[in-house]
Amino acid sequence: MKRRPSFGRVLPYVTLAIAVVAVVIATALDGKTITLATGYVMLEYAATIGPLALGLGVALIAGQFDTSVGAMFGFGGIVAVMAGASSWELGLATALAVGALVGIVYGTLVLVARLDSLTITLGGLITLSGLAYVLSDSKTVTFSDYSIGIRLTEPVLEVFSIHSFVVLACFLVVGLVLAYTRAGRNVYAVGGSRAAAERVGLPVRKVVVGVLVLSAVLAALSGSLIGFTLASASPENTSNPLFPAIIAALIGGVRLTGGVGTVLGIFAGLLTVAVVNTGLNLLSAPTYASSLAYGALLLAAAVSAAPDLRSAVKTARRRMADRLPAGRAEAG
Amino acid sequence: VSSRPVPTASLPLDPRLAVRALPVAAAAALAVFAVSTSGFLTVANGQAILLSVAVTVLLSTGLTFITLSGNFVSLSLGATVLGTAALFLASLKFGIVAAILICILGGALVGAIQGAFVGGIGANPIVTTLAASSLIAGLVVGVTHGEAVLPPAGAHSFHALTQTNLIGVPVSAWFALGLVIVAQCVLTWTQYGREVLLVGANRDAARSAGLRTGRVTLIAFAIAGLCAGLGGVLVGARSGQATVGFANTYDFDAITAVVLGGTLVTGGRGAVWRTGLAALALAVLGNVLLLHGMTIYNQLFVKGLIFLGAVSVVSIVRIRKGGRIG
Repeated sequence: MKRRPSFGRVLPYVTLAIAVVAVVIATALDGKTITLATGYVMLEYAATIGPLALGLGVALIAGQFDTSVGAMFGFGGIVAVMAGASSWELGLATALAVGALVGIVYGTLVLVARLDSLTITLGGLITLSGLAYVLSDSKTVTFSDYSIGIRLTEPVLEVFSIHSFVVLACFLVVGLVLAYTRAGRNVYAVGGSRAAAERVGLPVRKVVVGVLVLSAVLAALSGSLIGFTLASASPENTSNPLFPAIIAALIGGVRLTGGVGTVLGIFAGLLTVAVVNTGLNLLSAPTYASSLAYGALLLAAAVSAAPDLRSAVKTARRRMADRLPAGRAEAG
Repeated sequence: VSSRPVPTASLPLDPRLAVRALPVAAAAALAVFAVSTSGFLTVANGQAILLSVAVTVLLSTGLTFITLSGNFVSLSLGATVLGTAALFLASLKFGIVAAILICILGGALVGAIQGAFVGGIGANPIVTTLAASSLIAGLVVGVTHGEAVLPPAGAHSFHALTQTNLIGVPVSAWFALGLVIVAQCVLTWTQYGREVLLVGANRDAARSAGLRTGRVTLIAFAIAGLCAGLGGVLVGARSGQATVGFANTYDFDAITAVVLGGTLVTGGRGAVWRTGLAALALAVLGNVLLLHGMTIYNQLFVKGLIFLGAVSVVSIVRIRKGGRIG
């Protein structure tokens, strides 16, 4: 029997192409035009979600599920805005350091208490959401230096900005490390089978702590950049970036079981989410439409990633065949 | 099960004793903290606690079945509560009994659908329930156009659900107590209860033994949905209107109660009555913190730390015992 690994590998790019075609057709039918400005808005959205999808995706490749990237995004923004009152560099550095600390705490708890990272980061999600309210005193905190936000998001080459270049650079660096270095190979090995990686003496602990630090730091980075851009940060997560980030990683071919996925795939998944989001905005769809779209995409991702999907489909087919003896006779 | 030998001598206490002593010590500390807070020891405040604890008890009771079945947690119970609260008020026009039944069935159906994905094809419970929460919120906002749902004019009987006291205790609290007792009986004495524990403890073994693990999971999610539907009835009846916002702490409260109750996050071990007691303890703590000026959102910080502390203690004690259940 022929194996079909190639289909799974190109699926993220096929999905992206389908999303682009669908949005182009839908907007054309609606009489809306797509301009370079549309591309700019789309890339800015991708730059917001991108670091979260990247961190979440790489952690998932190593077999670690960081559910707190959305909360870390919000908390990181508040830290950056509050600590950066005198200089934005200080605010950014503080936020990134806090992110690294959170990742180290997660990693330590995962290793010491021998718990699933999913459990630990869910506790982190609750704690960080609360901490954002405590730190900001439940208010929107503001940032007086508007110039940094303007510089970050000023269009470069029509569709890019420093903001999106920073995020692209993150993808490039993490992608190269994952694909070409020993550390990258260790991430895949630990995600594929932690027990096997332990047996052959790979630095499992370093990988587990490393990917959790990476995802928390990247989430803090994105939160900080958005905080500077909006010149404010609020503890209320009105639109939780966790949803599009998970969708981007899963559409990008990352498996929840670990060991599978590429940074290029995550990037394609990210663009897919950004295209869908931009399409909904262009069609001036109501906000609940994006809730429904994200829910449907997430459910589709959960179903396609389900380990027992094939055997369940087979069983269902067999039952159908048993119920339709005529069809079976024909086939035989 | 760890292959690494763990020195048991390093633990000063018998782990079994530590497990028994910790909750008692925590409860005592909480009691002292509570009693020393001004405004805590009043009848009105006690009733306020019992009124607020009812919803958390309902949700965490249902959630315990999901956790016990080895499917970690659901993140869609809060959305189900808000959705069924709107459903309750909108369906009051058919009478209060019909409205309650509609909510119970609606919640159970929504839970069962998620359970079908998780149990039937092994879909990840976190991703599936996150998707469900987004779909439920989107659907309810779409149907209600984001406007508050109000009960039909002249409908007042539903206030009795949350405003009547029986022996000084709100009816909704009796409701919650009854549910905990029933759920614990289901867990202890029915075949389904034993199946849940077996599937959660070792899914492969349960499957080999001929248990229909998918069906057990589906029913666990349906029970959780049913309880969330009941929670929605109480929330709708208490506030007299329903709006579906994004921020609510129901999910986090329920999850923290289940974990604090000592239910093993990997499943197979735990008890509903302990979840109920933990929910009560969390409600008392929340009330005391509120009296100290800490809003429910600020309190998430404390609850998150309690969550992390509880899962770590339960897991470390288990490791020290050599990974054996007992």
